Amino acid sequence: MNTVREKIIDWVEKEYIKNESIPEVLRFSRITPERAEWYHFLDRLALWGGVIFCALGVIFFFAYNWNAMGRLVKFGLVELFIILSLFFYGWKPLSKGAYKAILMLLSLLIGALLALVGQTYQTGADPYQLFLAWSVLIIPWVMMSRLSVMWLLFILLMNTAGFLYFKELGGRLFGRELDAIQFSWAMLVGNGFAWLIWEYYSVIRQVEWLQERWPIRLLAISIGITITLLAVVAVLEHVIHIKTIMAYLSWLMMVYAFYRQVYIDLFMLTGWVLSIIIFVTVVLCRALDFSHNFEFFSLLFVALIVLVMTAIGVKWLKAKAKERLA
Amino acid sequence: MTTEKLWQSMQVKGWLRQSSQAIPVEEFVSPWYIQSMQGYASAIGAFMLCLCVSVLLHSIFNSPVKLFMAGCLSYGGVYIIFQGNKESSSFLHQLGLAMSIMGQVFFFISLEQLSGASRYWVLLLLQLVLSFVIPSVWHCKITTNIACVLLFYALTQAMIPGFSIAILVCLCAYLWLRDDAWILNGAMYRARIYGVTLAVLQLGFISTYFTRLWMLSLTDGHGLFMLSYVFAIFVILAVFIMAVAYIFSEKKRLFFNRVGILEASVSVMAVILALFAPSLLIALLVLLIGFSISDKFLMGAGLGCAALFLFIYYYQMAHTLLVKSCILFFSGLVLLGVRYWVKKNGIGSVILSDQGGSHV
Repeated sequence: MNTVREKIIDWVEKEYIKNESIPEVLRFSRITPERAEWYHFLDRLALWGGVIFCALGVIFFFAYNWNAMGRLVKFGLVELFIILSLFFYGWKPLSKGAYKAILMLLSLLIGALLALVGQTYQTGADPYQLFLAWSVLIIPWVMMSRLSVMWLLFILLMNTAGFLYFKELGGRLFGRELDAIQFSWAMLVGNGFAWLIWEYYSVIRQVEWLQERWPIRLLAISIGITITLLAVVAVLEHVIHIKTIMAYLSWLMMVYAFYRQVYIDLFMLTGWVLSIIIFVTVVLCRALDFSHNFEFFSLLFVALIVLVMTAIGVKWLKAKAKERLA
Repeated sequence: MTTEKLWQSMQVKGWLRQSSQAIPVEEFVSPWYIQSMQGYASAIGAFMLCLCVSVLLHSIFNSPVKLFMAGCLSYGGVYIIFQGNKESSSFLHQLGLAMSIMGQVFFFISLEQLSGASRYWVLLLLQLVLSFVIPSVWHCKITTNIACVLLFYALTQAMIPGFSIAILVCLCAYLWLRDDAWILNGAMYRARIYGVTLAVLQLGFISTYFTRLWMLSLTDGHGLFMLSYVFAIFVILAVFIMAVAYIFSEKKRLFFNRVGILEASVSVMAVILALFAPSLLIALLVLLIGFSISDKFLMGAGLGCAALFLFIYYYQMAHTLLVKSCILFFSGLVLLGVRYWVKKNGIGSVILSDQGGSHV
């Protein structure tokens, strides 16, 4: 049972609570929010809704008038919005949330300004340079904001720059030509490095603003999907890539060691189990030569193995969750 | 608040049926991500099972009747598994879900021969029956959701797709907000409302993005087609206003007091916005309902869909980009202005210090 809400639902279903008292129980346990909670909720909705709507309004306006506007107007508008945002940032004491929202807006506006420079002056720069410059220019604000979403935005921009670089320049890195698989590994190493640093400051150094788990989980999901896909491709290729599979297995061991021994995170372990199920299924399909013959017993065998693996995995995860609760 | 303290308070206040009862031993429920992983892995298993049955009984794919019978047999098996396995053995649960997906595939293929609306109505009926018969919460969520989406497609064949959105939005708000029914009527009831709510959001997405394409492709009965959407927009507005009024009703001493000024402004702003982007209002409705009953899943779905609808609003062709830009920019300014006004007049601190709910 994870939350008070779920416990109350359980108690109601088991008829421990009188039916006529349920509304009072819901209010008392704060499941039905009181005035203060509504105020905080609507306050945040107004702040973030307002900032996002304004930013989108500007973007839509540009899109509509793009061809009709002169250079001066285009640059003037974007820079005006940047100056206005900076003015609000330094004008008078604002709430922490407002500061963070302004920094986020500024980071997005910098991207708009760079896109405008690239389009207006036809500098000959490749699109990947725009994203690279964007991510480099927002570093001060990312660091000031102490906001995990801003760090996610930074990582996303770096990844986009990397992807476009590979698409445009064919994956030439440090004087070597890399193919798609090798380049994916290079990106994976970069993201893995970010993951390690993030977990170091979040878990070992206990930095307060990095305690939210969802941003690091998003990053971990992207890394998990990439490395599992690379391992699957390595198994399915004509000649099996032993090095890739060894790297995948090492990653599995690292994830298990960290999230089981150092810091228990069931979400990560769940992803870990799913990755193993997918990998083993693909290995079995390859071993039974599914690309050439489908046989009833082979298919039944694989189906049952998948179900058994899932059942064992879920049982193990549930046991760990119970251990954690105890 | 810890559960022990809550239990003690309930005992003191006499809210329990047996006041002397000790706090029950906690039963474990898997977190959502373990359940999702289970569902995904089941889908892989189901795919393999489907292939396996196809190889063994490849002749049944030539006959819709045999396929239909195979689907019924699968569901017979699913019913037996879930009925006899309420304490949940992981393996049998997996097998049940996998067989359920396989049965769905057989049903869909078997009804391929039927044409137009009749196929949607038959499938809809089938999903409704399954949602009431199979005793599994996850199964119920999925079948109810599919039934609602099928209602939309069935009514699209009759050129009145907007009516399905209107019906489902009403149903969603009514079922969630009806005097604590969501908690009183049990897990299967909640599963059905989740199915309806997700369908409402899906239809919000479909009608935001694809309306124009359908309008271009369907020339006969064009007026009725559009009229149903206009009807849907008004129903969505009415439901939103009624839902907001209900949530902040006088009974709860929230509406038109100090906090109410802010709430009313945000609501009115949302309504104006929704006249130009009704799907956004559906997402906001789900978000508000989610917050009013502390349901994080609904809040996440509402917020996620609001972001998605804003994104695809760019491609909606009913208004020019200039109109959309003005609506968004001024809505944003009003939201920020209202917030600034509330802060400047110190209303926030008054609300936070005044927990009793007195009126101005």
